[in-house]
Amino acid sequence: MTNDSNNDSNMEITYCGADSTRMYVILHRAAQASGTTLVFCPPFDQEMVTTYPRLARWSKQLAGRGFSVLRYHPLGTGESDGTHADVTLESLVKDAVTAQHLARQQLAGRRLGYFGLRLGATVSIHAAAAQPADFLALWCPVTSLPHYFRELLRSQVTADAVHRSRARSTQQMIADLEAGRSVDVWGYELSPGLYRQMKAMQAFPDAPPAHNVLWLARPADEAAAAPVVKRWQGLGSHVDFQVIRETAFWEYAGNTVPERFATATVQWLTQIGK
Amino acid sequence: MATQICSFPSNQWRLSACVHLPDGRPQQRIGVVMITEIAKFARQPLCRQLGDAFAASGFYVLRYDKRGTSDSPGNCDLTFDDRVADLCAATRFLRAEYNLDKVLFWGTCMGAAAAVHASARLSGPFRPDGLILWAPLANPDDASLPEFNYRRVTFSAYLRKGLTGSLWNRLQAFVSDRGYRANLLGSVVAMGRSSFRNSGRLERVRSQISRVGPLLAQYEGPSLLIYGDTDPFWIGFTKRINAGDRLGLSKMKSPPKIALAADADHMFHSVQQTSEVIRLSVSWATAFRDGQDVCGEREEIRTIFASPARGEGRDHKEDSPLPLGEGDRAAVGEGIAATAIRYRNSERRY
Repeated sequence: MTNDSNNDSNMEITYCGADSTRMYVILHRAAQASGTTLVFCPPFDQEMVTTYPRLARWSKQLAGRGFSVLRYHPLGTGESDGTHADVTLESLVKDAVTAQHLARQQLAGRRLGYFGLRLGATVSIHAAAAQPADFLALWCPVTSLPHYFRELLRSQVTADAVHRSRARSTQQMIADLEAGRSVDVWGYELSPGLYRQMKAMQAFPDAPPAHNVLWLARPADEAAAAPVVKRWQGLGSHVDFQVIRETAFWEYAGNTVPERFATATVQWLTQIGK
Repeated sequence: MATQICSFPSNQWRLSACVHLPDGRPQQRIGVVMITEIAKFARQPLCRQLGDAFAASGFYVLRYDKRGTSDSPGNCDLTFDDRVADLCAATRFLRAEYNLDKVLFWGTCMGAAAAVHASARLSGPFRPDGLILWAPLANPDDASLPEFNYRRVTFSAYLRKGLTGSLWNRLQAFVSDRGYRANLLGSVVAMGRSSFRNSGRLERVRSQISRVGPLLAQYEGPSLLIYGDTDPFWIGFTKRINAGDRLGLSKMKSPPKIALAADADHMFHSVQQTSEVIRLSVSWATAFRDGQDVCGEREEIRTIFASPARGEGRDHKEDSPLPLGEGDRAAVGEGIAATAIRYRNSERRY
């Protein structure tokens, strides 16, 4: 049990941007700054909801340990303006870059980098490629965007089959997207634009996105990640790759911080800060 | 629609919130306090859309993060009493800050259960004038905690949930879907952990949930209950909690209006279904504001809950309600125009 009501005097919530394109932002200013600031890139759709209490809790803990944190809701999600039909990979990357600018203005530190989980980790890689960051802390980045998108559709098909009479196949949903029609997956409107970009974009750029990278993966992703890690290391990036044996916590709502992931990350952040 | 970020106190905690403001100056100043089970934007984009829809119809709407969770400062392992206390604090804040004449509660799942408790705890001008409850958690067997990832922690609850899909479909999903298998394993682990690592918190929350039905029956204001027709919570409510109308909902001063959404389970995972929740909620609240009769019909409530509880007479051959016919769906579509549910020939089932 941990009940602490007094550790967030430096927490601030605000909207950034013009009317109708306001981004919802949460700032956690470290009480005794270590000089390291993290921009949290959230995972996608339902995973953003299920992991929200966990990552919010962890960001408060990080601020208590000297790391400033900026969390944000990409446009079209959560409390930010816009509709989900407007969300594309490009918009997610653009919002991550905007968040980095905000963090530099609001939480200036010696080192500023991204933390990302799942699709948020993949987005942070592309954001760092567009606007350099000092480091990346990646938790289980999506290794294949087309496969990830297809899994989203498949999960809906399975739920339809188990719970409801509505019969749709993955192929039918893809046909709708190909024809320029949005599809409804778990109550989220996925646009043809998002589908096209998921289909066309590589999850990982050839060049390393940052000089310092922490990549935490579950055993299931080890094989897909290894060649990318090797390539980035070969190009001079310091990539610390670790396999963490922990459950896929993003699949379930809960409020506990995934300890093994969190511990490995804090140790790494402390190490690169020295 | 204007949305403001704000915060308010609840005991020694500060709670982060946002308020949707109505356009113009409504003649009646009525507020809606929304309470969900995870973050204030949970079930996105529903909660934000619902807040906007209420505001567009002239209501003030407050959504908040409970103490020490999500965007509220601090870290707290919430108890059920904390949830109720936070809702009471939110009600006092909204009513006083915006000088409101009336307040409605809109809650879902555990939030709806907290809303029922808070309605009994609040008194005088702070008592809510109406309740909109979406899939309220009323069966203690369905209660869980975040440390168990909100999974069902009793075998009977898991089994009951498992009966909502056909055995063949579940078998297919088990064979073909890795995620489904992982989910099944997770449920077994949660059941095991709840048996070995129970600190008493689960018993306490179960005890509070068991009081939701009786407290709802004592509530004197109007209420709207919304369920999906394949939601295990609805099945539990009809077969266990209020079988044979043992709670006496049909005898309440203001019997609840009940709306069932066709083909919807607990999560309402489609844009169409969530739009229906928004439409039902806002039209009921608007009718309440305009002084229309928003109560359910006693005879229909008696019919809905006519079947006896388990072990009180007849065997149940199936656990889920009959699917609604086209005519019945039209009635659901009418929402508040009539008590929405029509169980087709329910006597035929046994």
